[in-house]
Amino acid sequence: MDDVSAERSRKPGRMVAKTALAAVLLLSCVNFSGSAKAADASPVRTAGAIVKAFDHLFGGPHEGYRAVHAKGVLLDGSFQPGPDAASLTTAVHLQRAPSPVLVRFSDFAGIPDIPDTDGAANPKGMAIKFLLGDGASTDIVAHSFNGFPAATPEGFLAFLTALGDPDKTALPAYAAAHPAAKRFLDAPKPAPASFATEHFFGVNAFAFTNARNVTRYGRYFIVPAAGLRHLSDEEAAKKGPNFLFDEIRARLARGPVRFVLKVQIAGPGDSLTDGAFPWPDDRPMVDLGTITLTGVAADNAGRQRDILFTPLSLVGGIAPSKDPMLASRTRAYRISHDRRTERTEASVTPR
Amino acid sequence: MTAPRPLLPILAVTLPSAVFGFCLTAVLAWGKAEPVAVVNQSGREFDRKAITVTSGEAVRFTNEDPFLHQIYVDSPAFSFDSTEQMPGNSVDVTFTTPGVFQVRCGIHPRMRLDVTVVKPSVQH
Repeated sequence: MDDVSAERSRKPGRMVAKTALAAVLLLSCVNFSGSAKAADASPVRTAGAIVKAFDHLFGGPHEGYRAVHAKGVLLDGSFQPGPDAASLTTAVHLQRAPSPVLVRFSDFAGIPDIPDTDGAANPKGMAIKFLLGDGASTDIVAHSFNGFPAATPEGFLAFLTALGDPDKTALPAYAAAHPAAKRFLDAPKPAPASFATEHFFGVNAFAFTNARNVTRYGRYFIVPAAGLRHLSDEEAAKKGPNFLFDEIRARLARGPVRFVLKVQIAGPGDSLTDGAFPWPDDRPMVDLGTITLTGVAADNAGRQRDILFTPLSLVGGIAPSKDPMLASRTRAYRISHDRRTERTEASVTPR
Repeated sequence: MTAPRPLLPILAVTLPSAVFGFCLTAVLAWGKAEPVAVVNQSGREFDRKAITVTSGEAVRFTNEDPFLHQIYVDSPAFSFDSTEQMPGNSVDVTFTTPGVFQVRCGIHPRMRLDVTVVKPSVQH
């Protein structure tokens, strides 16, 4: 018996301890390295999987189009801040001066020619780009459902996977175990009579800091000045496949379309990291100002393709919450943007 | 004969310390590569259009803007994806593979920096 074997036979407890220690150290550091890399790589990997899940659902990728909210229209307009906006934040576009805006309305699905009345065309999307001069910009990306089917990127991916599962029992089983998904699926999502009569929600929370360095958390609400109006199933069935896009063009030819931009302020106990559920209705609202849409943007298809709207395109005075969906949405939109513009020059995209 | 010392209490004390100490060393080692250049992000732009480094060297990307940036490289030979960079924060990126890579911002698509990574010169 050599010395090492003798040592092993005399002190089995210590050898086990040493072996266990070595194994734990190795595993710990492999895991640590993995998680450190995952901190870099995992969000983009999950976002990439989300984009692929959308492709699976909608027969994509459709060259030159977004993976989701593929059918849209880009409109010109302006934003006039209201008198209360500056009390909430120092954000440059929320002080006194008006800003030009680009607004994109869209149907939900990643299908470029989806009929507006199709169930997968809801919820509708509204993305706003405030043009700040010198090519700079800041965005709000909202949709017409006050909530989301999941609180986390991983949860959202699981939801999309269940949605695309050929086993018809998969989605009901998933929804039964996930209240946010069930709420999203069960909620009525009637087609609006017009994009101008739909309301939109930013869903994820942001931190708004004013000149006195007071920070309050809030979520965007976008309220149509024309009032809410949705169609019954019978009314929707009589509409053509592009009725919303035809209607908004005709409406803008008659005059401007307005929305009021608001922020709902978080109350005690409201989650700042879970956008799946709305906050109580009695939370205070701050009016930020009025969006006035005036016409259809020139070179519509090309600019829709090239423009990236992302909720983390911010300015000083507005910072993200720790809601993990914000980073994931930004990466998913980036992946979709990169692949649809890979053959074009991005110089036309506002910074 | 000395009674064997109980294993679990020893492990309970030594393992976390060892793991923490070892991994702390790993963390420090991870970030130790001193950057050879600093690229500022300001006004939604990189402060230059291109930079050349040697394989294995790090570049520090600072955020001088009052809002987020998020830099990445997405190429078959080399890729990285930074976390969201808060105002004032910096990210060190070690370029490990020779080639030409474009660093972009995931939030501001006009931001582009070409990084040429050359092989280290052979020492005789």
